[in-house]
Amino acid sequence: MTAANSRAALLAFVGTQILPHEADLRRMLTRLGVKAHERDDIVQEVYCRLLRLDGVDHIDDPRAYLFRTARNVVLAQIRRNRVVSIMTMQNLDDLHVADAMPNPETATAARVELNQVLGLIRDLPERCRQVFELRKVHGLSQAETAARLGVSENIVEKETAKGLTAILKTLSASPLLTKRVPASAPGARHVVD
Amino acid sequence: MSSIDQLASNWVARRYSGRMDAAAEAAFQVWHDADPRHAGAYLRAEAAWVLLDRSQVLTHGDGISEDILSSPLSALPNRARPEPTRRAVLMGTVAASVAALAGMAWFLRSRLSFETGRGELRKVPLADRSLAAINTDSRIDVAMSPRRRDIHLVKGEAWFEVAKNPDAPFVVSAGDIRVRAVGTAFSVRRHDDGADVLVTEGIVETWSVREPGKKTRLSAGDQAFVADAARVATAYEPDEVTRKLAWRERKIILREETLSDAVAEFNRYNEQQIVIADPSLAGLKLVGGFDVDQPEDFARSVHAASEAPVSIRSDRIIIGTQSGAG
Repeated sequence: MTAANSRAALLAFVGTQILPHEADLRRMLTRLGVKAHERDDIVQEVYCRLLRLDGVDHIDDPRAYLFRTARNVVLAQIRRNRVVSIMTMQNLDDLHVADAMPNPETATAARVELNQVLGLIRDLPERCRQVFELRKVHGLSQAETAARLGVSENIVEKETAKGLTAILKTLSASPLLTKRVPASAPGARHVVD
Repeated sequence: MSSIDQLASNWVARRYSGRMDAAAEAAFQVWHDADPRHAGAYLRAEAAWVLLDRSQVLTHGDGISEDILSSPLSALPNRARPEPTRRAVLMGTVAASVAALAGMAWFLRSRLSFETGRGELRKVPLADRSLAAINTDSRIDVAMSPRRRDIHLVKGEAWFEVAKNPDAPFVVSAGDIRVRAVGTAFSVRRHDDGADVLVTEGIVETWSVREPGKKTRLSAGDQAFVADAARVATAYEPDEVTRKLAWRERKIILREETLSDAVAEFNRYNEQQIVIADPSLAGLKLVGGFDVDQPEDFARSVHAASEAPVSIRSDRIIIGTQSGAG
């Protein structure tokens, strides 16, 4: 697999299998008393660990993987003497098994998923929405989008950054329903760290 | 969302603009590699960007609302501002305070006492250019001469960064316990029956005056409890040494310490004492990092994590019983 291919596979995996659970992870961390800026640190470190993976094919249960990685990140932060609000060891282990809690992401129809993704774009402020519809739904380039809207490329780029920040904020607050990738071998779960 | 997340979005927008040049790419790499959180935030933002492509795949490109084609953009509001940097700067610069004292006459500070109240932390440059950090509720007496540097730890705990001077041994006494260094950094905490010694740099020698011939050498990363009876329990635990010296940055770090140990630690620093009313909670294992002077933060976190009732009053904090009871 080439580097570009594996980056594309990782992005697809993170976008469809990890991001949708981020809001639940943040909610769990909030419940444990972790403050907002500490949550940001922890979430960013979790994504950074995903970067170090050789591949993602071996991850049968991305949600469980996400929570387990977050637990390890919290422990690593404490080892580096970072101020991270308390958790009992018991609660850290709850993080570990949080995937056992009932969660809404059961097999979701493609239509529902489509509506959710389109909903992310639809909820943007008007000008952001126009940029994202042209670029993401119609697949136009930035230059084509600028020409179509009659504005400079700089403006399109600014709107892109602004809209992406807004979408990430939405994703961090509410879970997205996604189609679950079936486990390759039921009963045989990998433990990954 | 942190400012890192906003920067990550900016970079995604830039890199997918079709206008990246070599200079921008180099600048991106520098930012990306500067901090694991940058790399993580960028992956997250790029993944969201790619996720949105699914709208194209799923609609086969015909899901667009047509009104957009006839509504050109007008002036854009520009309200995106990065959040203020939130990381507080910890610890003053040691070097600066030492340098400021460089010209001071030797004898001026040759015999001095330094004392701290509960919750106070003092960093004092000594006459020989060594530095002492004195923890809560502690006192040191300093006696300097050209041949000897004697520090008496009367009570509490202090950490020393010792200026090199082979002609004048630097000796800390804590009750019967002695710790000697030439050029190094270490801390001593006095207890009723001995002293804790933690070494952060170099080598020290420690002994009890009851058995002056029996000396123990400790190196960087070692922690030891030296009993008055001259028994020394040593362990090489650099992480533990760092953890126990977090007070120099006014922090308490817990790595699976019990609630009762954590409470004892907070009570060293604050008039507002914490009391554990329910003994069954005492063994609860905790992890986390706190400011020494924020016992309420700590208590609230214990409550969030364990659901134990917590009652906070101005004079004390009670963990394990409802307000009013006990």
